[in-house]
Amino acid sequence: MKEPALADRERCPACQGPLSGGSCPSCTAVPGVQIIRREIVLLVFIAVAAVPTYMVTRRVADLNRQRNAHIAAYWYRQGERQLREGKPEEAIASLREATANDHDNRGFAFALAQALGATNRDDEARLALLRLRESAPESPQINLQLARLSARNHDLPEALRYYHHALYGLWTGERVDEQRRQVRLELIHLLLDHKERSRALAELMALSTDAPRTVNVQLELGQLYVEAGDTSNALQHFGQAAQLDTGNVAALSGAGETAFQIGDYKTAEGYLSRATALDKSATRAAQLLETTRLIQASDPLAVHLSRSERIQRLRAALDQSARRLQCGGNVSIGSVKGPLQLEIDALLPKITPQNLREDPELLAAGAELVFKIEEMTSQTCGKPEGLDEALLLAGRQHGATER
Amino acid sequence: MKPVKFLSVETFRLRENQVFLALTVLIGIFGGLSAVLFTLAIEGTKHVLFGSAPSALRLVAVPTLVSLVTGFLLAKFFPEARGSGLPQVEAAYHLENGVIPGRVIFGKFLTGALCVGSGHSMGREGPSVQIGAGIASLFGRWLKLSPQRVRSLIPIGAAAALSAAFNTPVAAVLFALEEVMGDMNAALIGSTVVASVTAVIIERSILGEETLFRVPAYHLAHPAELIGYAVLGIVGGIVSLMFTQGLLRTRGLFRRLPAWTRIIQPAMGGLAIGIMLLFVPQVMGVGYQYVDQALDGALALRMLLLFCGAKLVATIISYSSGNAGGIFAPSLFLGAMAGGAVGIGMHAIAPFPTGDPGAYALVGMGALFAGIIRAPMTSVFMIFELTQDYQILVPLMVANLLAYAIATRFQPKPIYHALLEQDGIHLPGPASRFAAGMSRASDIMEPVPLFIPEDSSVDQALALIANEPSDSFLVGSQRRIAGIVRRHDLEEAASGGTTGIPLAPLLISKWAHVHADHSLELVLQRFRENPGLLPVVSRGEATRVEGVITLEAILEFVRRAPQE
Repeated sequence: MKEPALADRERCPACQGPLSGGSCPSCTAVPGVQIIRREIVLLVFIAVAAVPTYMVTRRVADLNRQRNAHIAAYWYRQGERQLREGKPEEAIASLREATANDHDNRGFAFALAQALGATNRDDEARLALLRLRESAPESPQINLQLARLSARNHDLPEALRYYHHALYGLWTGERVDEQRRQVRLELIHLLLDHKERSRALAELMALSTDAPRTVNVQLELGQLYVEAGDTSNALQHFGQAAQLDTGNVAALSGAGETAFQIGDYKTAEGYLSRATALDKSATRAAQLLETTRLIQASDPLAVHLSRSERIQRLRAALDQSARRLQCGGNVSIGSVKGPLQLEIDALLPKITPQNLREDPELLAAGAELVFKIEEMTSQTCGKPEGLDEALLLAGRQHGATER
Repeated sequence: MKPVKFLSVETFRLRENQVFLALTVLIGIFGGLSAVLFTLAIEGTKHVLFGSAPSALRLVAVPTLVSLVTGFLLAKFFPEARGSGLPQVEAAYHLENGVIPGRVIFGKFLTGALCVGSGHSMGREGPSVQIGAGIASLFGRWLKLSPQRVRSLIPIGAAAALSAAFNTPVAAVLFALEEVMGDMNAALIGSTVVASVTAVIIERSILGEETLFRVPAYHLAHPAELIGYAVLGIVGGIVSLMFTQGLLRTRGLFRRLPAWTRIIQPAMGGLAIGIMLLFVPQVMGVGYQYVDQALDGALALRMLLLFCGAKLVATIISYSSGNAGGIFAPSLFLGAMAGGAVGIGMHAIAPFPTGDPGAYALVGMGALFAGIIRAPMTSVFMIFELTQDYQILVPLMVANLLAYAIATRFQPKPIYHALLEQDGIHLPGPASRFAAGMSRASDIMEPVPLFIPEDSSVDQALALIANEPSDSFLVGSQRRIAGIVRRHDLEEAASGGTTGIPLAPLLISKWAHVHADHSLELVLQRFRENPGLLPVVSRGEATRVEGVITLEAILEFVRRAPQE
């Protein structure tokens, strides 16, 4: 028996089979309108349900974050305590816990890096600091720690790079200038340790331009200039320190010594005499003062001398040189000793007021002979002392002046 | 009675596509939220159970006692929630039309949070994927989508959950395609991308932008360093084998125990883990903070080796004893430790400059993932996504390839499939997927036996088809089809006694078609929309018929197809 023909509206849209009671018995399809209405309602329901679910999840995440921060703070305190108690390994473990619980806290991560560095775990510390630096390349503290690690590993170029990043980083808080100054001082010490005097001097120049005018700072600068080989600037800063504190023996001694080194014996005498007057136990200053006075008293070429005084000094100097020539010496001086002695012997009778008046060059020739003998013997007969030292230094001062 | 209003087939299809798109976004949202909530639940459980500095007694008691509870729950209420969840998702996709019961979602969330939070050495990604796929399946069934649509929601839910759990949206998409579907050319790629991106947006809006790991800057220190990464690949392959073989054998042992012990097996594992925690607490839970330390180069060689060995044993025990948790995170943990150890070793003996151990740890994660999970593309993209550095690609591929090759050579069956086979479930292998995926309409179609001329009357048409066995016929010519007519309709029209009735009113003018290069899957889907035959039309000339597919032709093709 054949089935009756069906209109399209009486057929299932899915399988084209006949419908029964509005639904298809051959497949599970239901009327489209009903499907769509149900779908829309359910989709809207799910979408609406997403909002409170999101809010709840967010709240739970916030609570979790707070709890983790609390735990991290606990471990950080533990780590700090253990560091103070001299238990670095335990401290590192605690600080690791702190950072694991609070990834975002750079303070904890920095403390861990410092602890690692303090226990000579340089590679780990470096990696931890580099990781921190990725998010804060301008941080002076991170760069400074990296610089110190590099310096400790004798990687001077890397250390310089990080020191400069630290110096020109984004400093915050109070006493920013003082912190920067300390970093530059650290850098200068590093350069001096590595015999990089010219670079150290460049940093010193930068440091001294805006250095505070306090005794300690000026003293420190003076000392650094001495170490960097710039005695003129050293004298200037020691002098400023002495000016700021007239009773400061270190400043006076420093100024006296630097003045002595550059051959300004008059200035040196002034500072050194004040220093020794204030501190009788300042033996170095006392020795320098004695030498300074001896130089000033024995130099035949000193200014403002009477002719007789000059003759007396020259004769005494030639006598002293002749005596100096008698030192053991070595073969090389042995070969010139005789001619030099002959020169002295020939010159001594000529040194009279009359001859000096007629031949002013005689004074220069005599002094030159003295200085030449003192210079030569200082290299072959050991360190000169007393009058020999004074004549040697006087000769060097005149040589430098001529040059 | 008021007539029921029907929409046309085309309108219905459009609506379903729109519903599917909206659902994809919603699955992305809920997949992301569920993964975030699961992560938070694990952390909360761990904090409640262990506190900040747990005592020795607590370390042993917590995993044991909690596993007693979870053992009961898993045995009595949620047996499908045991283990990772990924094998179950694959089984649901391939064998059960994408149906994941609603209670599995709840059960997995509860038991997973308890197991991982109580110190078991397991991961959160597998459970997250099962929960995400379960939510997708549930939504699809609520909306009464077709079974095929529900099935196709599974990889979408999985991608969403993994994207949020691991914070790598691209790798999550690839994982869903490569591992869950086993088809990198799947048409669902767009939907998985939408869900994955939605989920990761949700995750980041809640947990922040920070990546899961603080990955070191990578650079290849010397071209010869590739030798080091090759060594890492070999080591990765060996460790992968040790892990998979150890896991399968130990699980086999547990399964051979009397059935009544099933309820206490998780507690047996819990006790063993508790004792291990006394000596190596670093194996507890997911362990990503130690992965971070390995990436930082913060672990010495002996620590790396200790953690690697202990984690391997702990994960095998936790998983084999029937607890709920994954092996995704443990494989990354093992990779980081093994990689870090190889990195330190290379640094000590290599005559060429080598990178930081952290770089090796990173590549090791990919290598172990490729060796254990057997998703090499996912592992490459996952590590690439973590580093966002092209330089890592070559070393990563070298290590992954070797680890994958070694692991596959000695353990051909992927771990998730092997685990399912222990449970008596046999997933379709790549060969059968290939056959289904590569069979085309051209393989099935037959020549059109008869065209009824468009201007024929019903009587003429009936006379033409009198000796034909089919029930449906094409009307028109090979160059142009006017429609399809059914024998049944012709006979009905003719039964009225009227002759010369034109054919046109009986024509079904809206009919589905396929092209010769369309897949078997699409052929089957479209076939259901037509009455008994499916025209195969030319791509270049859509009205020209190249052949026809009938039910008989499909059955003949199936009969001819090689058996798996």
